[in-house]
Amino acid sequence: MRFFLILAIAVATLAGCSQGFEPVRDKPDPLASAKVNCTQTDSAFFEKSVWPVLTQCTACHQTGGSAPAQGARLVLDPVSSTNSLAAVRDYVALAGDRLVHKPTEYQMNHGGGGFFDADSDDALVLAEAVLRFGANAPQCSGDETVESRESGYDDVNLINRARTLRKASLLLAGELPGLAAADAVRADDTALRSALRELMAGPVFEAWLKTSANDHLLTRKYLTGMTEAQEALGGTYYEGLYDRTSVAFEASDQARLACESSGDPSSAECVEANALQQTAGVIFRETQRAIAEEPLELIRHVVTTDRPYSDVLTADYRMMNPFTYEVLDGETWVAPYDAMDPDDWRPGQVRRYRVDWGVSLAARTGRNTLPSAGILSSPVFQLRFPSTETNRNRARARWTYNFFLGVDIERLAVRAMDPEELQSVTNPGAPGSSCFGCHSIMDPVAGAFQNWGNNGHYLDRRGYDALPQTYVDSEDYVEGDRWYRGQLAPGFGTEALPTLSPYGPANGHDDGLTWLAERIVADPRFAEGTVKFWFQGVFGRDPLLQPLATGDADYDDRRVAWQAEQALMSDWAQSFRHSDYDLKVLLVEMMMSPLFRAETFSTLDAGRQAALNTLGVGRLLTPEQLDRKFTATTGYSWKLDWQNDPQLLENYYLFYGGIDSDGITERPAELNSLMTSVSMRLANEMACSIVLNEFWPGVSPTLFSGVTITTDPGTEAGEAAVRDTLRSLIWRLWGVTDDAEIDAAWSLYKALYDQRMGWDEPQNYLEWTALWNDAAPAEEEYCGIRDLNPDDSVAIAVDWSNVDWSTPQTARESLGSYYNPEQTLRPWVGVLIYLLTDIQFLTE
Amino acid sequence: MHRRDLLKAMIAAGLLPMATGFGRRALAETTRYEGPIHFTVFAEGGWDVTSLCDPKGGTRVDPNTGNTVWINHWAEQGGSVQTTASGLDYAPFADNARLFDTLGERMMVINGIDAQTNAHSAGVRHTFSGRFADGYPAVTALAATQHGQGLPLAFLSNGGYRETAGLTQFTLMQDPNALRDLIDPNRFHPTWIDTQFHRTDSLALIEQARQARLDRLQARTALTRRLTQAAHFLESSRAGRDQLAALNEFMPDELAPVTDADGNWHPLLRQIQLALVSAAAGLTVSADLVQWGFDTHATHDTDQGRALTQLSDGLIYLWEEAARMDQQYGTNLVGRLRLVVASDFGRTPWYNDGEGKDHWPLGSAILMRDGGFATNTVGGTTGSFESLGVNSDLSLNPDPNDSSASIILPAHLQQLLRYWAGAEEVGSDFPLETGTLDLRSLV
Repeated sequence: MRFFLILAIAVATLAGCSQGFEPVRDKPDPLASAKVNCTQTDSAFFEKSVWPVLTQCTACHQTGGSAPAQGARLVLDPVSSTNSLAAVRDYVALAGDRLVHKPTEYQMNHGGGGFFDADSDDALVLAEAVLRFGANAPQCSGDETVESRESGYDDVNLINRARTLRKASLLLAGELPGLAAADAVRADDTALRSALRELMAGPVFEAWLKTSANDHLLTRKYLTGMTEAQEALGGTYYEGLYDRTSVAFEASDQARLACESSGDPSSAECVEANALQQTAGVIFRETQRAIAEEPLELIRHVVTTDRPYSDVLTADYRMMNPFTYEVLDGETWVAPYDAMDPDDWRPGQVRRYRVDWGVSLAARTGRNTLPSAGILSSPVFQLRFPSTETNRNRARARWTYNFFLGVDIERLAVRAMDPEELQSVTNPGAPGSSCFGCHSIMDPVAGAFQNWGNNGHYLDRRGYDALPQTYVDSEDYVEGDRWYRGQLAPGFGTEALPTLSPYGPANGHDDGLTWLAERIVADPRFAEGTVKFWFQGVFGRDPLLQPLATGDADYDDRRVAWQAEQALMSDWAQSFRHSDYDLKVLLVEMMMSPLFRAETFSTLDAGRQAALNTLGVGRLLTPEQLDRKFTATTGYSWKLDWQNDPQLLENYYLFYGGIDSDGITERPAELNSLMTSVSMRLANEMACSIVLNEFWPGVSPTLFSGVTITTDPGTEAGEAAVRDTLRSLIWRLWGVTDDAEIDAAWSLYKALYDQRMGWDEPQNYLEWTALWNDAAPAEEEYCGIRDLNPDDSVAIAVDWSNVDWSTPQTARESLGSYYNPEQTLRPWVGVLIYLLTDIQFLTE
Repeated sequence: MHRRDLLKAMIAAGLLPMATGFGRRALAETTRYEGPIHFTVFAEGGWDVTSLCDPKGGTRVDPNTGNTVWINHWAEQGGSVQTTASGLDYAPFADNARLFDTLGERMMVINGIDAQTNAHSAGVRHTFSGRFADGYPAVTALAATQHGQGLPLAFLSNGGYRETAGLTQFTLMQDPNALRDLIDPNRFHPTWIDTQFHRTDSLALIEQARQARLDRLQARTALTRRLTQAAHFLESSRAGRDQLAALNEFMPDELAPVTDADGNWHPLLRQIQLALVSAAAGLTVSADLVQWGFDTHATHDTDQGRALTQLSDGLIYLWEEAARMDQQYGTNLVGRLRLVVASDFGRTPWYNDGEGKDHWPLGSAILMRDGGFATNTVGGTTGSFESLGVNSDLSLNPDPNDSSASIILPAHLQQLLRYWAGAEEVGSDFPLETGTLDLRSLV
């Protein structure tokens, strides 16, 4: 009996696998009405919906089954839905809509015949699978995640395309994308890539570029640190560096004498003296800035003008603004300029340079300008990474490898050295010691800096060379040498710098650095180095370090995580190379990745989760980024009227993790109590002012467009309006639309409202203080009455002189939203504080 | 898997050495800290201990030239090694006499520590974590983790090696003027108008909502660790934040200068002052302090002398200021202070052509506490500043070729410091390779 049953099933199955029907032509394409259900993840959708449909297909579509034997490419695993999900993904990637068109025989034949109608539920399920698993799967409009398809990250889920755009836009453009922009990227990755690239223009992007670069190059030390740029570079060599500043201060001093002679502080002489003093201060300050930011401006110039990123090393010019142009060049620019415009950056050359007191560059060398090799020859870069007579440019070589080739020489041998060698080897660049491994890489590059002295001055030994006099006086020195005999000869890798004589000047190139720059940018590692250079700026952390301690409990997990990240970085580097070193292409690829977008795990493996503990969202924003996010999301700036910069960049900059590029060069990755206090201070100082402004009569609100001062949360309509506004606020500030969070925010709003309504004497004003209202200390609540947008047409000022108390509306003609007997606004203040101090506002 | 189970599994797997402060635990353990205070002073760049606490007054062969040279110019010029009343040797250089005369009774000097490298980053990592590989926390981070649960400023750091291994967070304390506005963010600027932004009962509702929100986030075990860990640090930093008000009691009327008498940048005193204020307020367990300027490849005597003088200034100021505060406020800072001074490594026992000194793997550490130590000098080096080991009883073995002697390595120093800091429990997840040598009996 059992035999016959099996035989019957086999016959039926075989028949099913071979029967043929005419293709369906009069039914609609199931793909036309398919859409993705955003409430399910891909895995859940497959498990609950697709797998029950496809199970019937496994009779033929399995390894060894009749379908593969006839050439079918869909090969399922009858006992594993997980394996089958992978197989379906692969199949859709290969064959697309055939997943649904074949079994429905929609406009094509199927060897197994038609299994269900094109308009059936099963067909719709498979159609959704085609949409989900296609290369350009549409994504949901909310904050749902999508599964990562990146190799090595298939157990993480990513923020969807719209949220990716939002995150990138806040980072690079300092603004929230509009609804249309978010909608436009939902369709496919191509649209998202395009939108990401469009973010890479404008002042915020430029500021991001420069700040990210400075986090490595640290040349702003000479802007914010104890040593100023002019002082550090001036003296013998840059002959004109002080000229403009000196003239300005002398003029100011002369005018001050005239002012004092006048005896009248309001005299014309004193007015002029004050103006000249201010001008001199600007010239001094902006000259410092121009010097300190020169390599950062070169990067900005190269990237924003869409030049190959390799220009940052090969540029045969230096970036100048009028404050440096006038004292270092003075001849190159053709177009007119405003001498006081610090934002007018253009290429120039250092012409006003002398190699000794009274000896010009041209007189000694025949050159009219200093040689240029992009950042490598930047005076302030070399100053920031100085050398000594025994270091012999090795530090510069080390950082050159690190910044531009992604090679940290000090990590090539993270181990104990032979103590005998450490104490006895006098020339680590000589073969035979274990030092040689690293020094053979580093020392030739150090030699390529041969013309640049310890403090970055070109040919600083009176224009002959940059060797120390003690070496020149030694028996090792040979007339005309530019580098130390006994050191490894200048070069890069296995290639020696062409020289006119052994250890002599470069031959055929302007300078050793121009030769070196060409080699570096031609080296495949230049792309990898660029990836590492921008890693911190994009992801807020450094690349994972290769785990070395094999005995550590988490070694294996960390190794897997490191390898996956390395593979990604290698892919990005490849894209970067193929784009002719277009940095924007690289940045787009980085932001498309799980490193930027991961939000949740689909694995519960604790070790795996821990190894990826710096992945994806949750990056603590820097003070610069938090400031921009606050402004972008609220429309307002946390800035005191008399300050030039916002509070996060002034009083609280170092407290909130800023750097001074000098002693403080690393940004903290974790919040501490003082940082938390800063965020609370921000929220407390701004929230009530924002609410006051947003609800002021005549103001077009940014945050509270769905409610008014009279929206009653006690009514059904009122609650709905408040909830809608909360949904919008939470999306703006946190980037999510989670219903549970909207419920929680609503509960807080309502609780604050009910609390106020429950007070014996609820106050009618946004503010109630001991000073003005004789309030008891515990009942005080301050609100800054500030016009946060003084440039619009609505003046925000409370006028007590002639209040019409007939109705709240008439009173508000004088008092505006400051008068709120409805008690609807202070709850909004509380909610705003709650949102602004949340971890999802402080991170991205 | 429940979150608690997940954490247990991680701890068992050694992935989360201490699930510190998760959830409400930090709130529950908020308390004023009255225990020992652990300060590390980092002499950044590689200090020359032959001109400090491992003085060398003789000559040796310069391997570059084969010539016999003076190790130090102060010796060449007739200076000789000095000894304090307590028997500590020091070099007659910089402001050492004042330093050792003033503080010698409180010191224990460990000489001959072999950093086994002369690369800065590797030297710093090895000296201050006990191994070359990345990832081990500084002892100050371990101490803060062990003793600072719920404290808002448990670990202060001004730079140096401050790896936390995710156990805790560090705080940079600067600009006391802005700090005043951070002590109570609900108060408007008291010097302008002394009022508050929110009524106390309204604030309580907001706080409840915040805590519920953090609980929801922490319960989402699928969220990436980066976000949940950030939420955890937000929670723990909020938990003890109310205690910041205690700073008000100890804030100085006059701030320590940030330049020395010659106008050179010298921020160490300000770092010390703020760290002591925070410790006096019971908010701090440990602090990293930094004295920059020791990487003297050129004009060594001038630059190293300046850095050492500033370091001496700082150390003397630290104890004097602690004593002054004890007198003013009745605190017990002097009795609670435990201090270690160390550097990347040492410097060559000869001068280079530029009158500088380059990197040398041997260095020292100076430990200090009120009342000093039973033994005030441990380890040592030869007269030409080469390695010597110690015997099992920690006496110096004068034979550089005796293989039974143990060279003191950073792992031994860190083992000692962890023990001294009472942080061995939390440190046990970061085992050190110390072999048979054990310095812990010294403290």
